[in-house]
Amino acid sequence: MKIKCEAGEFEINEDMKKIIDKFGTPFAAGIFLKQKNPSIQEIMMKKLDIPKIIVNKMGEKNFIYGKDILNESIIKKETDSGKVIVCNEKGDKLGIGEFEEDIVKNLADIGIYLRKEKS
Amino acid sequence: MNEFLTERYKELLGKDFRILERDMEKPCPRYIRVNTLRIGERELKKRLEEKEYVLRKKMNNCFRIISSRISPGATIEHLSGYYMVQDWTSLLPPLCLEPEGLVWDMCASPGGKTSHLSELMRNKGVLLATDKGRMRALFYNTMRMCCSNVIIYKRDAKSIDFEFDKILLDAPCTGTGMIRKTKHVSDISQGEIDYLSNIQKKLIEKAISSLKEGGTLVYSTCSMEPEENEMIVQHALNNGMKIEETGFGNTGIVDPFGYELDKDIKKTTRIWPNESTGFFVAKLVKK
Ligand SMILES: C[S@@+](CC[C@H](N)C(=O)[O-])C[C@H]1O[C@@H](n2cnc3c(N)ncnc32)[C@H](O)[C@@H]1O
Repeated sequence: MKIKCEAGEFEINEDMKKIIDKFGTPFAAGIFLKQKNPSIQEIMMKKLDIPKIIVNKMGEKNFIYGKDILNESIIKKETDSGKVIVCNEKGDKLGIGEFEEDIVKNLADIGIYLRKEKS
Repeated sequence: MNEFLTERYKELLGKDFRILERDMEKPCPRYIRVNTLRIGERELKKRLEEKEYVLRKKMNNCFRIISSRISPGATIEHLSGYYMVQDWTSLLPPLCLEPEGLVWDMCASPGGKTSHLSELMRNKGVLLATDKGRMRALFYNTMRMCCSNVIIYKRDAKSIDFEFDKILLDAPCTGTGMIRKTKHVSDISQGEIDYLSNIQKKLIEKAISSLKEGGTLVYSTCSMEPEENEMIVQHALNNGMKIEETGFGNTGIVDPFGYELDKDIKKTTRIWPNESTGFFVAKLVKK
């Protein structure tokens, strides 16, 4: 089930709900959900019905720095429109993007953990 | 090390103080803990070696970084939650707790041990993580490591009223076990030790009253001071707890500075900062 926490919306299970009912709104709990797109945690933890693209080293580097992906960095793609899970050549999931003509727009990427630590 | 700590450690260690003094000059090694929720130990080692890491196995799912070209906080493997940069001694409290059921991590931020507890629980059961601050760090660390059974509250642990199967109290402390890493511990005084010792007593009282009968409490600090360690365990023994072996060696001190503590306190584990960060771990069960 979904609940609102201080850090946003989350998915929790029955056992967690019992604790939360007792203590009130937590800072965070369970799996983080984003408003319109799946969160990075969901991409990592759930089997989502979203096609993948595989990017080269350059694409990987740009993407985890929060930038978009150029067509020339894409090695393989299961689709060329809509939302995609972006992976590197090793198959690591780097985040989620969306095709916009020739580029894949960065919607969320794992570089957030590095950027957050620094900010 | 200031004169105050030098005198104390000479008294506690006797002739072994020389070993500590010698090791104090060496650089402090770094370690990583493999997150087995995400990757296997061998696979991670192989991947990091491809990035010119030289790793040496320290214990199960834990490597010492002998050398590396890229900072361990900046690799794809780190961002993907495949490992946590953490001293091997920090792995002992969660391992000692053997977490299951309803678990409480009382002083959780920034979440190194929270994510390890969650990993050991294989994301089953519920892990309540409280702290007075650093919520973002706690949240991001548990999210990056793909922990899904954690509930995070910004609370003073003393305000929590519930019963748990297992509790980890990784208490706020002087941090004198970090002496090789941080210079500030050189200024530690008796006043600070006593101040933190009082806080630790209150926190352990809360932990005891929040445990189910037969429940386990692991108490840990990165301090080397008996007032923050063995003497806090004595306080727990006086308040309805019994002690169990941690499984990492019986190295607790039972006669610090002329005090006579319960002989069982020997069963606690005290690791001096020779090989890593100094650490103290005790395993207690509610009678
Ligand atoms: C040694 S650190 C914990 C490190 C953490 N367990 C980890 O492994 O990443 C001690 C923590 O205790 C927290 N703390 C101090 N007093 C507290 C209280 N009364 N209730 C909850 N947390 C408290 C501090 O904010 C600090 O984050």
